[in-house]
Amino acid sequence: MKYLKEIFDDWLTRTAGILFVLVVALVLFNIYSGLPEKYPLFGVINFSMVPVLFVVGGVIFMLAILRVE
Amino acid sequence: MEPREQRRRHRDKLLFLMLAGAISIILLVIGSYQLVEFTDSTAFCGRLCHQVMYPEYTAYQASPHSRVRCTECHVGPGADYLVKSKLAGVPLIFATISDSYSRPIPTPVENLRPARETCEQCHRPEKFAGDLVRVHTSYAPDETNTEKIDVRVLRVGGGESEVARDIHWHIAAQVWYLALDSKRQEIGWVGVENTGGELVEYVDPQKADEVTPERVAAEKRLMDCIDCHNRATHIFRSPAELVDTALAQGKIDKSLPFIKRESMKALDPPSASLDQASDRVKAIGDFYRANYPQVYEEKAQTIAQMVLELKEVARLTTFPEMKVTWKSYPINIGHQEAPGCFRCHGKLAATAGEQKGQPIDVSCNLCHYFALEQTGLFPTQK
Repeated sequence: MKYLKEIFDDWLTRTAGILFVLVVALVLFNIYSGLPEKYPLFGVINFSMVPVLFVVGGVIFMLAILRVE
Repeated sequence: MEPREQRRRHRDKLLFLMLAGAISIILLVIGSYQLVEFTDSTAFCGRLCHQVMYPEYTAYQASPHSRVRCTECHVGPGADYLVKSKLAGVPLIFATISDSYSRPIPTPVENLRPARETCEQCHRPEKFAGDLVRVHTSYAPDETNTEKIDVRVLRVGGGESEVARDIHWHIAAQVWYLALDSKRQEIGWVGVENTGGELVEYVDPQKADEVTPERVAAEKRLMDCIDCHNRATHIFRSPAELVDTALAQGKIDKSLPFIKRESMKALDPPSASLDQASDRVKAIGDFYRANYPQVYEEKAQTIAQMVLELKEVARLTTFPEMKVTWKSYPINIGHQEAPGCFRCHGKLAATAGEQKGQPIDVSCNLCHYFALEQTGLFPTQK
């Protein structure tokens, strides 16, 4: 716990971590859930979120890495 | 904080960010693949723009190709057509959002990929099919629903190009044509490559002025499956056809008096809404109650089953929002509702040679014959 606290001690890394967890959760949800097929509009939004989150996450990751360096 | 401790923290943080970044790239690949796969799914094509695609999707679900995904015919294999199809879809999204699409939506014949790259991924027209017997059962709108069986032999033929014959010869041979309209119902010019590679040309004498060598060179198209099988999937069958099929299959009891006539009264012309169509179908029960009380009492379950079946026929034929009926789209196979074969046969005339001025053969026996009826093997009436 202390180790994690040390890693996520600034808001940039915390945001990057949250985005990472979101992308993992979204991809897993899309693999195992039948809801996107059942509700195509929900599916479009859901599937489009992965690249969107990746782009946003990419920017935050870069900022976080630069700050660490 | 000690500099050593701070360096360790920075190293751990960097390690996490780089590891999470690398995993995110893998997840992006998976996520993007899922997105492309989803946009290729039948649910996406058929149900996202629910009202627009409802008639097409309903007809598709009842068609022989209902287990083939939309994209297998409308996109086909290869990345180039995948990208083209996605780009072509962008204006359609705006048309749907702004409610500016045509009703009924036109068949996208100009955007369809040649059938050689789609249909022929599964079907093989070179296969020689020979003569195929087709039995069509219909019912008269009289009290006994008189059954009429029409048996004909279709000369499907086919075969490799050197020996191809009959209807599927059109695919084995190199047949070029020039359509004068967007629906490809008006054919102005046909060119058939003979074995020597020369083009034998035929022109519609009525439209000869519209057929110029430049236009032929620019717009000619090689004939393929969909020039005849143009409604291979989105087949809008008429209520008469669907009711005949249900009667022949036994889904509707053909011993019910006047059932064909009453079904037609309820379903043709189509109702203003599906609810109204259902009410009209339910009212057939009242007809039996008033005119055939004994039948109504004895066959209550059969009548209930008939109502259910006719509601299904109504579902397949009632699309008032999109103004689609079974007459909206011409079917080129045969010549029942649209000119079909007669777009060229009996209309276009040879431009040179011994046959000059003679129209393309239009005799019935060219494509089908009724020999079995004459043999008495198939009774034509029961």
